[in-house]
Amino acid sequence: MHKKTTAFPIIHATLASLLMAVAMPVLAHEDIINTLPGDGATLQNSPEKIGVEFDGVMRITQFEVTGPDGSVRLDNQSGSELSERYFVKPEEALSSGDYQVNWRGLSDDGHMMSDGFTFSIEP
Amino acid sequence: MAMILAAAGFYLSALVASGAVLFRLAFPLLPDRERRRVARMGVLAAWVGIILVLLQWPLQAGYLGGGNVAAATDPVLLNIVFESSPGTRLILSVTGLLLVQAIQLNGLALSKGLSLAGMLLVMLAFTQVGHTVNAPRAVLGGLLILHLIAAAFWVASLWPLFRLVGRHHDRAYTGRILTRFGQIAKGGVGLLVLAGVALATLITGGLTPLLTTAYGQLLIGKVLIVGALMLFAAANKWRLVPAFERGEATAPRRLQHSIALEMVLVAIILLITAILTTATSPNG
Repeated sequence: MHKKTTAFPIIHATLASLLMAVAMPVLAHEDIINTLPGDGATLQNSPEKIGVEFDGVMRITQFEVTGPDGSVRLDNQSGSELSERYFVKPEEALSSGDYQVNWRGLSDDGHMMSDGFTFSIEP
Repeated sequence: MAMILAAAGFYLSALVASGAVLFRLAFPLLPDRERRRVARMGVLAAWVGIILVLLQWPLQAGYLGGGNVAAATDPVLLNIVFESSPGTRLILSVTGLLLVQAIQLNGLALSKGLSLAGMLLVMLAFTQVGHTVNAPRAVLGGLLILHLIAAAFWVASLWPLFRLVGRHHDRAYTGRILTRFGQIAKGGVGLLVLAGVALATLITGGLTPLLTTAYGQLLIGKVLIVGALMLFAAANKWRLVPAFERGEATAPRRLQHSIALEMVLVAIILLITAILTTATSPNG
């Protein structure tokens, strides 16, 4: 009698935790389908637009570009409405050097997301 | 880091608060003192859950604004969070966790109804964020609720069982409780298996994403850790159970250790779950 009962909590608990682990979401959320400029791209001139495009809607809440002169001032930064793409224009032409783009946002399914990409401008 | 801890704490307290309702329903003949203790555990967990889910709100706003204090109090960002699915989750879970506290009202049918409704609202809150919002939403959400109900019952049972085993009740009485727990857990595990496998299949679409994404690999790592613990639990069974049968003085203590180990396991699992669900980058 006791043989079975005392073992149940342990075995069931472990099974349960195993299944909890398996049932957790695995697929990524909205995937990036394109960045502008492409991740790691080397450009001849300052880009017209900088941005990111997703295969689903996303609410971008922060979008920052930093380069050799620090944070880049951006034009027409839109609000944080749900959108499949988010593009900004640098206020002034970018000088040569390496640039890092970082963004944060809230995906349609309520997950907070962050990512970034880099590009360079040749001297 | 604060976000991860708050998320893990919220998962734990929401599961314990909801599970306490189920535990009380499953064991209507618990002695008064134990019943009150389970109710107190549920109420305490509910309040901790409410505090943590409210704390998550500015933490999420802060994260979205670049991870600083100014962003955490920015009305625009707070509004974005509130108007999106985390906001719906917040409302549902706070309402649910308040209703769950009806567990304290002893023996009233109304108490059962209110606390059960509260538990369902908390479960519903979990379906608001994550992959279960995708189509087929009703199926995914329903499966997740079944899965969470079984998980909540199990998580909330650990502490009361730990106490029961540790107290010097007569062995026959503790044995009866454990038997009943075993019977319910059998059904519960069935529910967990079916709901879990169905969810995993629907959400991942197969094994490939598990193997090819960093996220999936982390999950596999976690499952392996749990698998190792399962071996430990099986080994334990052969050492513990005969000792319990013989009425050895150390047996209850050793069973307590096993349950304590499960609690640690729960904590680790919830922490990893929180890491995986708190902030993600696209493309796995």
